Amino acid sequence: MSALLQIDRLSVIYHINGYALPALQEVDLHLAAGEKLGLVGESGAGKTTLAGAVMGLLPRGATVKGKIIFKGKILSPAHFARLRGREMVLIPQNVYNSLNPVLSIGQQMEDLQIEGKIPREKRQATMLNLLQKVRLPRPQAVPGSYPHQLSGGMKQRVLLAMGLSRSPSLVLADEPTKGLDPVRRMGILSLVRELVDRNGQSLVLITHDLNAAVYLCDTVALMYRGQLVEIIPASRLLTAGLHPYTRALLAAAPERGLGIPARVDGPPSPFPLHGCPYSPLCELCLPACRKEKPPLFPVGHGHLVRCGQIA
Amino acid sequence: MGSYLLRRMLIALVSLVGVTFITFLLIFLVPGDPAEMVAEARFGHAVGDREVELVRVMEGFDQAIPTQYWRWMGHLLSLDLGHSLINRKPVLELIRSRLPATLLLAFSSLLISLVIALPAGLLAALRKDTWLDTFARLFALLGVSIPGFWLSYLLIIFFSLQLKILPVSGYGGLKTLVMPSLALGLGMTGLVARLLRASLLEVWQQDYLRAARANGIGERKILFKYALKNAMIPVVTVIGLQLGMLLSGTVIIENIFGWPGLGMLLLDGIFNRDFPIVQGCVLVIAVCFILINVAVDLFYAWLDPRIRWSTGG
Ligand SMILES: Nc1ncnc2c1ncn2[C@@H]1O[C@H](COP(=O)(O)OP(=O)(O)O)[C@@H](O)[C@H]1O
Ligand SMILES: [Mg+2]
Repeated sequence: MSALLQIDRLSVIYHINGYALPALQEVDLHLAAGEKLGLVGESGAGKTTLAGAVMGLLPRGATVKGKIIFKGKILSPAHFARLRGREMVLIPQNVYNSLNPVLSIGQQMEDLQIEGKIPREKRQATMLNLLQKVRLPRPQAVPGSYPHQLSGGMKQRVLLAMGLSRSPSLVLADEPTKGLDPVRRMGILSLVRELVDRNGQSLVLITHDLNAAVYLCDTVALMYRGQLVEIIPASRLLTAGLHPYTRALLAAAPERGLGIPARVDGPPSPFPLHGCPYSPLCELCLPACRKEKPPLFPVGHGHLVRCGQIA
Repeated sequence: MGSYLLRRMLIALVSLVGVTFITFLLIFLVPGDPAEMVAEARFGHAVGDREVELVRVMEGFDQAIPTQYWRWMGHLLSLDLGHSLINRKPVLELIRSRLPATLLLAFSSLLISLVIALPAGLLAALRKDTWLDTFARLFALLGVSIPGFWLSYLLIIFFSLQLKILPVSGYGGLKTLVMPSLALGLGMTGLVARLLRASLLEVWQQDYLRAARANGIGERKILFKYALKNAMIPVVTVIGLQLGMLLSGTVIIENIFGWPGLGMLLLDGIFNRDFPIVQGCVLVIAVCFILINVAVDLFYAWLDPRIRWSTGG
């Protein structure tokens, strides 16, 4: 498969009061056209940062190193503005504050169809069609309403409709079910899968729900403290996950299906700049793990693990 | 929408009635016997007790306060604000002849303020922590801190006495308008610029701007459509409050620059103990204040749909 998106040794450092925080460390990732990738990790792992880097939407002052290659082109700051919304889109993490409170849904959605001169009726029809696609109840009432009049689930569907309005080839969804109740969660996830599959779009689903990733994606990448620790075909994750962090997640997660159990949510120790990021918590840690970061080691079937026990 | 407006209108109405009552009571706050003042004005300085008593009965000063208020309100509703004790002209006539000058001054102050403050606040926020931002903030701080009367004299010294390009005082033409407008509007300019900067920086952090960018909305639209409308919400409130301050500021500024407006009429009325004039001016200024507030509330509702649709407290 040809790569739609390739991330090459991507590092991001935030600077807070003169203190450097490495949020991403040499991340390598590959996404084929039409592939659906789940990006899983506890909060603070750097998932949102990764999405921000791909979209060119990191806060000012963040240092970015490495390459992001999209459709064969190395992206520079000038490219992002042209690609956003058209070629790649980010369904944002915070449902509750991601729609502009003083503009109606219709005003915000119409701004996404600016190319060319489209007659008003056609715009309205396109908008309604999109709102129907995301299965909003009473779609014709939505354009005239304001964000504060919609429930969280409705907002999420509107955001989805906006993101998909120009059929971008890459969809990044940052915890699209965060803050929704479990019943709504499943509905949104199947909707995302259905829409993305119908258009053959590539998806990066950011979540900390292992089951959601397995259900929706072809491949799952597990992240811990700014580094990828394992990349595994989704169908093999539940049975063949190898990294100690993955195994800790699996041991705790399946019955509950969501959330990060306290055991793997590490203490707020400083990032180990050398060695494996998981070494302070790892039960299988070797002396070598603390000194040198193990490489992402291929173990077959497109499965890669970064672990001193295996490499 | 309806209930919000209805509530604001109701509050405005109650304020109006309150204002008339307080204005009416001003007669009794002026030292001296109102009947005697009116008699003096009518019959000259050497009035005897007979004349005073005559006026007291004729004007109803001997009656209970609620009765007097009722009578005064009756006159007010038929647009009769009484006559000046000094020159016997109808107060309404005097106010009508002075009001345009004050409105002109207030409006041009507001205009100058906004024309300076909005771009300054915007640029300061966009160029945060550059020399431009520092300069704008320093200017805003000075604007807020310098009292209008002091600035008036500085302006007069600089533009009239040194450069000799603007007249010291007077009314008529653009040249006479410049200095009083600047002096009156500077405080508001500083405040609005500072507030817009802070408010825009706050809005700049919001997720909805990041989300709009992620959907490919261009930077120009992000600023003028997505950010500014949100950032203006607190600014509009302050502009409304400041407009009231502006009106009261005219009293001092008009007297410094010999600007024949309501403020000058009011101050003359106070010095002459001409209470019908004082009452009339205070009433008109208060009514303007209330009307401005209603207008701000309307504008506010247009800006912020969360208010427009709210039904409860
Ligand atoms: N704007 C920022 N400035 C400074 N540090 C940040 C910023 N955004 C995120 N971080 C830090 O970077 C790390 C990764 O954050 P994030 O990418 O949001 O993780 P996730 O999305 O996986 O929860 C965290 O330690 C977080 O505190
Ligand atoms: Mg996140």
